Amino acid sequence: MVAFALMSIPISLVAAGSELDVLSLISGKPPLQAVSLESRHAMLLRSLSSYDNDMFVSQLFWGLWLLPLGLPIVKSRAVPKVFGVLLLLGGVGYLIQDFGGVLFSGFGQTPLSQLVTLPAAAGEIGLGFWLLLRGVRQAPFDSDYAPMRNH
Amino acid sequence: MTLKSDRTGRIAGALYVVVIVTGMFSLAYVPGQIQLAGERVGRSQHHNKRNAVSARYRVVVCKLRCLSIVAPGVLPIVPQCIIEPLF
Repeated sequence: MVAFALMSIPISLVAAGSELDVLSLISGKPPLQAVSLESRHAMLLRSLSSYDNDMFVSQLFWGLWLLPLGLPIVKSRAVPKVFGVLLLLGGVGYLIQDFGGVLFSGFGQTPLSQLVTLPAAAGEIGLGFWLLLRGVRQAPFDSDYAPMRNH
Repeated sequence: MTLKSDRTGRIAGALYVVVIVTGMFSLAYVPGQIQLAGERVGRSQHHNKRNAVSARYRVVVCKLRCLSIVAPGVLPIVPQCIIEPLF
């Protein structure tokens, strides 16, 4: 899970590089003064597009790391199981959105594309606030796991 | 469940909420606010708009950096507070 999450970080930083490119382009500093405004606009759009593409790749790992996070939450009683279910559905949703966007033209504009990541949003926001406000429960695991605690 | 693990859970939740709030701002709100000159902005407003876009992008970059720093700290802690009692 941590490996999946960590993999998304350098990709996000590369995306930040595209954002820095945008800053350079709109600054209009000396090397860019020789470039026409139309060309700078085209380069700016290219940088924004690069940012979108990098975040699109990063999104694949946002989905993958939710799966190994959701599974132990479903088995645990430390927090409500509904968060684990939402995270699992959200992880699958991210993958659907990612692969759907690559395989099917215009998938990003369909209602399905918007809906599939809603469980992830609900699960992550819910889990974050639950942990912050309620903490973890006293009996963290189902009785099936009780013998393991005695060893 | 010890008080320590409960506190770990709350710290994890606080960090998770930080990631969520900064993520919503930088990934959802800011991109929706960016307009290129000529879309709905007159020529006389071009300079102001350019500065506005610049300011927004500086905020986005800061938020991404924040996300990149916070995320590795959050991710191991969240499952730890759930799995820790097993061992």
